Amino acid sequence: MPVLEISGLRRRFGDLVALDGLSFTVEAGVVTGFLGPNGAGKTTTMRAIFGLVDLDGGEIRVDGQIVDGERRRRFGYMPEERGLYPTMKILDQVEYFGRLHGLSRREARTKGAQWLTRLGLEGREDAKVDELSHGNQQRVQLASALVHEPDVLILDEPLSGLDPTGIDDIGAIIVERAREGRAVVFSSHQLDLVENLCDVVTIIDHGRVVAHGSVDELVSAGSPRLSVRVEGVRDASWIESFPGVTVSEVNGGAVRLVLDEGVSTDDVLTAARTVGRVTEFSLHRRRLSEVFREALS
Amino acid sequence: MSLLRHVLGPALGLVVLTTVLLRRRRRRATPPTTRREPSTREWTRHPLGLVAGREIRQRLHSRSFTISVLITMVAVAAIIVVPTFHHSAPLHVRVGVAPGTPNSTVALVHRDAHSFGVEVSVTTVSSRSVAEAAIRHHSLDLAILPTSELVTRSGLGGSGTTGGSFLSTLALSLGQSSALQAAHLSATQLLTLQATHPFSQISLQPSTPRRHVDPLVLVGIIVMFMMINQYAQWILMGVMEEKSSRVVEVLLSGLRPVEMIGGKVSGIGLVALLQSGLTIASALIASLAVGSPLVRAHASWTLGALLLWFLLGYVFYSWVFAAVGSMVERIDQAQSLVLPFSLPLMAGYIYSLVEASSTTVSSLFRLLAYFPPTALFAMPTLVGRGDVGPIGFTVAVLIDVAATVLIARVAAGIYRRAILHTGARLRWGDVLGRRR
Repeated sequence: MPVLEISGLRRRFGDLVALDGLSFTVEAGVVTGFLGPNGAGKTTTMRAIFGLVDLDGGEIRVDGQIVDGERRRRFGYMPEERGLYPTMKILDQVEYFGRLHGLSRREARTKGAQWLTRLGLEGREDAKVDELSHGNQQRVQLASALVHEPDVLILDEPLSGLDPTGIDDIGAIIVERAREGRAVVFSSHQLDLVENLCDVVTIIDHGRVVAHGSVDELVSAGSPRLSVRVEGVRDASWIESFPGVTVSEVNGGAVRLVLDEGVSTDDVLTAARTVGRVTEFSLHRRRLSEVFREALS
Repeated sequence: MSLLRHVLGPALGLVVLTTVLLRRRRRRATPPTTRREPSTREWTRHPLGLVAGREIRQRLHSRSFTISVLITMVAVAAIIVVPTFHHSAPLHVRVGVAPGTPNSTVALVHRDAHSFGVEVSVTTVSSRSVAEAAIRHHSLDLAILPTSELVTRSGLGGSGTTGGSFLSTLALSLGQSSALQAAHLSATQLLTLQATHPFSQISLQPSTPRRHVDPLVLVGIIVMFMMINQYAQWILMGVMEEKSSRVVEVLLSGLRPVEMIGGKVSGIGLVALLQSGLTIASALIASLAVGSPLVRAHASWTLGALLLWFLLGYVFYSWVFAAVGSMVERIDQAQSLVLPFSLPLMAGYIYSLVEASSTTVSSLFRLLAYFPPTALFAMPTLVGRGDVGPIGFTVAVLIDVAATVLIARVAAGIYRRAILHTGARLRWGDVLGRRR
């Protein structure tokens, strides 16, 4: 059953249409990737979910009920522009956010300490935010969003600026939250990470949904990709004029090709053999980055 | 009784009015099943209480607050104590007279000294040279010589001082006494002349009695101005810090703007009350210690009025400064935006100080006592002068409360629209019209 339903959101800022009838649903138990180019309307949508932006039209429901202030207290939010009190101790800060979302002082302090430990900040509870590195500040921000165990978790670019260990830690928590039956939405421009972490992806552009579905469905749909590597050949000039074949990518001598329906892989292999010894020849599903580019084109 | 009638009455009215307004607003905004009023025990878990609690902890832990409280307490105590130094040490004049000086002369010295509040001790000096030597060596202040001369070191402080005035009067008295004795009057005639009383003066068109403000109000207005400026700045800086650090976006994901500002105003307001309480305690202790006339029998009414107007003024200006803080990210941007609101605060303060020491108050000043941006200083000034009755006082309170409710609504709207805006500085036209 969908937990979060976003229906027909509309919003203009002067002449700019930020949201143009945007609709999608977020189900409990899955990680939903919320993708789009800069200015597509992702942050406006997330702010609208929290009532931070007035809408011209549309509605947001959770479990079938219009979202109001009380229900929002069961949401967790990590905005794109990180926000913490610079001179407040980090455990006090996480406790404060927990209490604002309805926890008792004891619960908030206990859970806050647990989350800080989980995120690798054990022993630094009394440090002030401005004494921490960017990555650690991001961990405190995530702890603040998670401390009250929200049913709906909205994360705007939670992985940006993190080192690989940080990405692994926070990625694991995002997936774990979803597996516990919560609705998790996060936006990111790191599409390989999204492909690894997400079950479902919604891609928007100009305030409209241009692609939505499970990652498997999206990458399996469309033309297959053929990866070809020819010994001693570093470019794709040998295949560029081949009818029904489009070069998708040239990377370190490997050419990634999109074949139109009816184009024979045998004919491509023959063409490759005419320029040298073929060392790699394999069929692949689309990557999410290719789904993204094609959805926006 | 006067405290009950003048302060608690309006205060109760204020509470009732605010409660009614808030309940009406809540009934319109929220379905009855989704929200209920927090009980007293739940208050510390209510968002508004949590925001207020954070503000209180942050302020009480700051060194600047401790220093500011101590400075205010010491300054107020000094204002009360220092003037009493003048009264606590009356002038003492050591007078030397020649042997055989008549008792009537010594009696005149005592009479004139008493009328100036001067203490005298009279001793006999054998000769003029001895008297002059004693004066030069500071063992004597004044010598009355048989040659009808008064000798001092430098006129007992000179003209315009108590000592100088005493000396002039004594010289005249002794001269008159000497002239009367030279007239060879009988003892009865002499006594009759010495008991001279001036004629009573009767004006057929009496002038308006000069009214001056109670010094307690004067001190209170100065302290109020300092504290309201300080606390309004705290509100401004606090809102601005939350905007520039972007923490406000996280906060508003779980709070309504009105809870955010309301919590901040309440928390800092309680800190302000604490500081006011400590300042008043400091004033009372200092007054009792030196027996200052500053705190008189009617001081409870004056203090109550000052405290009430301090709170009303604080709440009024807090919402205004919160709205300004939500529009800017840097202090230099805030200064130009806040200027139009600082001016009435400053003007009301200066005008009140001027009117407090004038013979009569102008009609404009009486009008300003009912104008919320200036009433916080003007109305206590009228109270201190005894120039306003309970009805006028209550009307001013009700006008101020109504204006504050209106300002709070407008300020919350501006805050909603402006607080998440980044980039170019907003102008008033942007936030008064546009949506978030």
